[in-house]
Amino acid sequence: MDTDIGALTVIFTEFYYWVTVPLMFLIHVGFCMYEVGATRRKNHLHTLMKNTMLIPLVTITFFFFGWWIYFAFPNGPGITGGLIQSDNAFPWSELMGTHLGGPGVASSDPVMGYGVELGNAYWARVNGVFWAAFLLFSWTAASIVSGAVIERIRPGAFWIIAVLVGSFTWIIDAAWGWHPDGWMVTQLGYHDAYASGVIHAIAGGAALGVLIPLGPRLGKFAPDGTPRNINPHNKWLVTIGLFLIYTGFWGFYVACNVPIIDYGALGGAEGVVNFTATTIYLTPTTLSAIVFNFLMSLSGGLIAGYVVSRGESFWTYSCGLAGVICASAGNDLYHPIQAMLIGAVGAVCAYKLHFWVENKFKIDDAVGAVAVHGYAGFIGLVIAGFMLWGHPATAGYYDPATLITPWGQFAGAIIMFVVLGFIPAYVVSNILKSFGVLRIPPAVELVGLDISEEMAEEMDAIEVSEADIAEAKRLGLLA
Amino acid sequence: MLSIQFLSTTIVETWAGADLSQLGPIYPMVGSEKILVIIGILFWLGFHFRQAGIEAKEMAADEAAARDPERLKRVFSKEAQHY
Repeated sequence: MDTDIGALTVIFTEFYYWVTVPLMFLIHVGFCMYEVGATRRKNHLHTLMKNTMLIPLVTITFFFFGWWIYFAFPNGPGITGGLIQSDNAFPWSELMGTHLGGPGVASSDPVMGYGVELGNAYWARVNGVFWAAFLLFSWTAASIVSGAVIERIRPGAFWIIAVLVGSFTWIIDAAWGWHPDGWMVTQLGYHDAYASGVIHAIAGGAALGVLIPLGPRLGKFAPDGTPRNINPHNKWLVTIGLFLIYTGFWGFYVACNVPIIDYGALGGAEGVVNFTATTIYLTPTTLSAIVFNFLMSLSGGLIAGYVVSRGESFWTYSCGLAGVICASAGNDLYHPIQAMLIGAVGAVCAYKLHFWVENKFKIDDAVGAVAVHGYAGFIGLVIAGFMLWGHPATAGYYDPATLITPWGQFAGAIIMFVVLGFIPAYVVSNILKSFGVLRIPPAVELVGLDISEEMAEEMDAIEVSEADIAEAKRLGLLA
Repeated sequence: MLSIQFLSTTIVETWAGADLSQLGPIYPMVGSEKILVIIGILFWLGFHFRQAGIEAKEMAADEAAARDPERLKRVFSKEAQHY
């Protein structure tokens, strides 16, 4: 901040991440609309509140420990090293509040974050907006699980799982595989620039881990095991919700980048000043590249989804999302036509796998979240391993670089979907189930979660009607 | 004047002539961060415990409502009409 270019770089970075936050907020608005539309009317208020309340719970817990995990856990800890000093991210850090960038009060020691000393002036400007950008990813991860389990999970149980996924497991995977020095990046050559795995595969795996102990909605399967369609009560709301998620994805994509940095300081050519945007791995990219590929993969997914679902609106929109998610791992590098084709593959796989799993294993994923996020994300990681084979996964300051490989990506996909996604959610859900607090009672499921609200509203309406009748009589309008 | 300074919660006394490069945290009560974190965590955990009680009562009331056959019929009738 003591030179013009330094100040402009930091303040531009601060503003850039700030802009991503309201854009990503739209993802959550979309998720709420989509979930409420997908439920039957007897459950829609509880569905809305279940999703809405994950916002404050994940936010405060991400403040208490999620942010610190990202900076402290890139080595595991215990896989390639210990905890990394992360002064900027402790919840009691002076930099986790209004700070002007000067010396600290409690300590004047250098502030370490990202394993280096970037200085108070940097963190004072960037810490909050960077935290918020990551937090919005956290909401998304938890919200993906929310859709799958509608109409039968207890809200209290879901909120515990939301904190688990939103403030704990996903951010461990981010430290491991979505950090320039994460052990999965430096050891496996894991590459997942726009979060096919670190958000989508893990959340899809977690949703599956909850769905198995939770069980299907009453009436979902006929006695012979044939699935019944429990249709959305409002497909318009569902599709507009998905449209809003597409819109929010613009913020999601750009928040995955570092907007401006001198590549010379990251191991580029010595003595050459070369400002560029980078991925989260500090590998060079451009906003143009990701705009090309986001739109082409969305288009590939929509076209393939329309064909494979025979024009069914819910699945066409969902397949658009699956297309983006499948291509996201390598959308910093793909050619746009490659992104389109990968998007189409992801959409078809998500659609086919959803119905195959539903029929074969009697798993009731109410909105196809496991398929659209989990399977498409997993497949996207594996495809990236083949498509980007031999490309450096690590930044310029790693010499020699660790290279992207199919086996590194496959191992990464397993870690995301199974190790950090499925297993923790399955274990915690089973614990909640053993206490009898995972699922709502069958009678409540039949009558609907909103029954108390409906009865209270009926009583209100009767009271108002009786008051109106009395007034009409007083005025002589009624005998 | 003495009482105003005594009541102050901030380390900033004036913006006149301020050298921003020498100013760090400016929120009220700098130094209380660890206590705030403890209070914040209790606030969070308190929600889960309180909410569990509210939810248990609500489920019991909902189950009682579900024992009314007329109400159930109405729910199923609406469901059949895809209401």
